[in-house]
Amino acid sequence: MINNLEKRIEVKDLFKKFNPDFRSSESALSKLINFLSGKNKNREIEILKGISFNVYSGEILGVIGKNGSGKSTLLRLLARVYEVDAGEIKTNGSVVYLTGFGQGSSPKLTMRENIYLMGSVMGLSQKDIKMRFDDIVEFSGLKDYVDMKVYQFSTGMISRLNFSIIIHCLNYQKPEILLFDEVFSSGGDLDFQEKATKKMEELIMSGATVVMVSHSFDTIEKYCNRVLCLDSGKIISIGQPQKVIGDYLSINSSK
Amino acid sequence: MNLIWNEYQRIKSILGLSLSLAKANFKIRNEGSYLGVFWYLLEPLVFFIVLLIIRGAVLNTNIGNYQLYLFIGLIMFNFFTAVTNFSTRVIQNNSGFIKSLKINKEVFVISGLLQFIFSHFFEFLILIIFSIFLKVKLTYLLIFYPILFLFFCLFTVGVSFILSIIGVYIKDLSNVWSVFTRLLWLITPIFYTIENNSLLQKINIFNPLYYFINITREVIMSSKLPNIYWILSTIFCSVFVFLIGLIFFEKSKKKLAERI
Repeated sequence: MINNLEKRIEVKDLFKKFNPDFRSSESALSKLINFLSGKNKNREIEILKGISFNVYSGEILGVIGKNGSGKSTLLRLLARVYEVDAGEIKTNGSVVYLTGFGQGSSPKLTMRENIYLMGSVMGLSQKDIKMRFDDIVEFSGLKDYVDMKVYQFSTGMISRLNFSIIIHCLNYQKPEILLFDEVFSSGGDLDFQEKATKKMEELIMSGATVVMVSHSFDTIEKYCNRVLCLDSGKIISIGQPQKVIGDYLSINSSK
Repeated sequence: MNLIWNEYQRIKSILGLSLSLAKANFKIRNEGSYLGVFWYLLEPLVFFIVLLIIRGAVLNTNIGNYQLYLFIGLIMFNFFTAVTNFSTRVIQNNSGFIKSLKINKEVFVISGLLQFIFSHFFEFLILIIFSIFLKVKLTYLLIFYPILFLFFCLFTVGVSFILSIIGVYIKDLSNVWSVFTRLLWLITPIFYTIENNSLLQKINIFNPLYYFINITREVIMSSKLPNIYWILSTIFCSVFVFLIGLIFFEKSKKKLAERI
């Protein structure tokens, strides 16, 4: 049955390396000294070692694994933030990549200015943002603070604001592929959390193809059709959520 | 045809986003008040006054309208330094965006340019006021200034593209670059004139800023069109530097996200 579906993401033999010594030689002086002394460390760490999988249209794929197993790197490669070293990635449709709602706003600007700035960074035109401005303010529940500078906001308020902006921009763009890196909780209070979860569910269930990284098995089991488990850069298991989570737990306990 | 259309859309979105970012940066720097523009003008104005005062003591120049001569040089050089210095750190400063969004990275460099074009506009207004005050006859040739300035912007942004990439690989580039611009400030005839066939003039043959500033001075101060070869070589130089910078940036931008 699955063969009849359209492939949205196709990943073949994906490799990614990083140079861990890059940061130690980043100033002009230390570069010069390294050059003169002939010490040119070029260690490389392989983060992803030959990964292949497909994601089909409308599917929700969960990605689990320990810290440092390459989950975030995988998403960034899919989003084309990083460049592929070897192998290939084919994506079919517009891609949006999200990492948390904590950052993005500039503290020295007012909430109104922030909405316009983040909206344009997300790729909306000024006109489109104007049209959605009221919805965004309404949803965030921060109507009284529209012209207040964001550094005066509490942490909760900031994440409510960011969440509202991002979710409304996404609803407008209707991307075909969504990549979520640990973004299921919005960080607001209980009321807002409920509202936010509903919005997220709407977005996910709207027929987009989703790849999400999460450490919460509840979330994974609730939404995902398939789950992929990564361990030190390799896929150790892919398939039914319960089965893969079981595999993951058994690896962890055996070590 | 389709390709051209796509490219047009891409450039349009880059410019739109750059403008939004420039506006936001401008507001941040000025704390939301338009009085903040004063800080942009402070540096050229103070230098202007100081150099006017020491002029009699150190230099014996025989330029008519020394004030205007000096001010044009100052604001043009100031613009170049401001944009290029900004660009040495611009990729680092926006690493949050670059790491988490698929975004056209050119926007950060271009937003820096737009931001300083805006403040240059105020400096230019002061220049006009000066000219009226000093009873310099302003002619229709003044409309050449925006055209000249456009090419000056192309040159500046080309240099900025290159610096922004190098700034990722060499974190303390801004220190090196600020020393370099200080040297350039002394070499370029901003507060003095150079004689023909002197050593300084030979050095300045390789200094693009010399051409830009000189042409602008001729256009505004003596109301005559400069030598056509000068104009052509300046235009050629700015387009060349812009293209080199752009190609260099396009080639290196894919690797940026993992380097910051």
